Amino acid sequence: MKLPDLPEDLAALERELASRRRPAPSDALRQRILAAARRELAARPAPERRRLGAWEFALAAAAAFILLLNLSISAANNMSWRLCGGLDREAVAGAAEEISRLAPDLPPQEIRREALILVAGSRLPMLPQVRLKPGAGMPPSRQSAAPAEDTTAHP
Amino acid sequence: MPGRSDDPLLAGLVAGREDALAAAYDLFAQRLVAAAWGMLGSREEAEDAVQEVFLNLVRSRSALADVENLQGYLFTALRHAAMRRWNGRKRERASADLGAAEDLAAPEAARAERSARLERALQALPPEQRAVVALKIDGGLTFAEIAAVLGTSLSTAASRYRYALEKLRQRLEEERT
Repeated sequence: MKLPDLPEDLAALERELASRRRPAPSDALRQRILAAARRELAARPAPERRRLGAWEFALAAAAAFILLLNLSISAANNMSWRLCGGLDREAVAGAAEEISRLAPDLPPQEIRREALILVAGSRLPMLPQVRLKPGAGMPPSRQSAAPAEDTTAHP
Repeated sequence: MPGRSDDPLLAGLVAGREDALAAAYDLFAQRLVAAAWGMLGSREEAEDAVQEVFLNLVRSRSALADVENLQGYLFTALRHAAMRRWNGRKRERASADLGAAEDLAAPEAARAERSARLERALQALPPEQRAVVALKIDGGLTFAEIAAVLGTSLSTAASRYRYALEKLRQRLEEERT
């Protein structure tokens, strides 16, 4: 990039500025700086740059892979990311009222806590009941201790 | 961007070697002190600013591995150190240490007076313009280097320098009349 030349009066001023006497660093400055640096170096030795080890790198890569896998599966299943739509205040208030009616001795804080747990629990998705055959999925040593279950009742 | 690990001076500074710091001082101190003096108008403050720059160089030596241009790094640090001092004193003594400037020019009375007026006018400039003049005239940097130090474009650095000179000339003329 070509910069425009300065007009003569500014060029003269520039020359004048350049010709003025400037202070040189004092003799003591060098010693002062080196001594201060020496103290600094003695007080704080150089922190070594930490390099990622092979195992750490492998673990980080595996963690990133698993995370990406999970995200892609979730995306493929059209997962709703609204994990919690917020608690229904009316439901919590209703539950609290019911709890205080049933257990009037409970302090209000505990009533609210119980109400919150109750309402939150009511929103959990239902899980299918899984019944195992007697002894299935248990180590052989515990098979004898496992109670026998009646699988005919739940086809 | 890879650092200049091949530069033995930078490598020595990163390793915290005192001889590398001494070499860097011998290489840059004169221009740094001159530029700091141009910015601050005081030899004492200029030396303090330069000391701060070199001490910060030691303190943050591990970060130097990524530095491409040591000169640019030092002058940028110097400008920040000068800025801190400007902010601290808030123009309380714009013509500070003019006595020293006069002392420097003492052998010739007329020249000394002119030099003192020049310093007064220079110190009355806004800090950014003063910094450009100091970096160019006293630090001996090119406009490209000044632009890198100030974080501006080359044309901005050049035009800021020109405005500074114009303002300086204007002030000198006002003082003369």
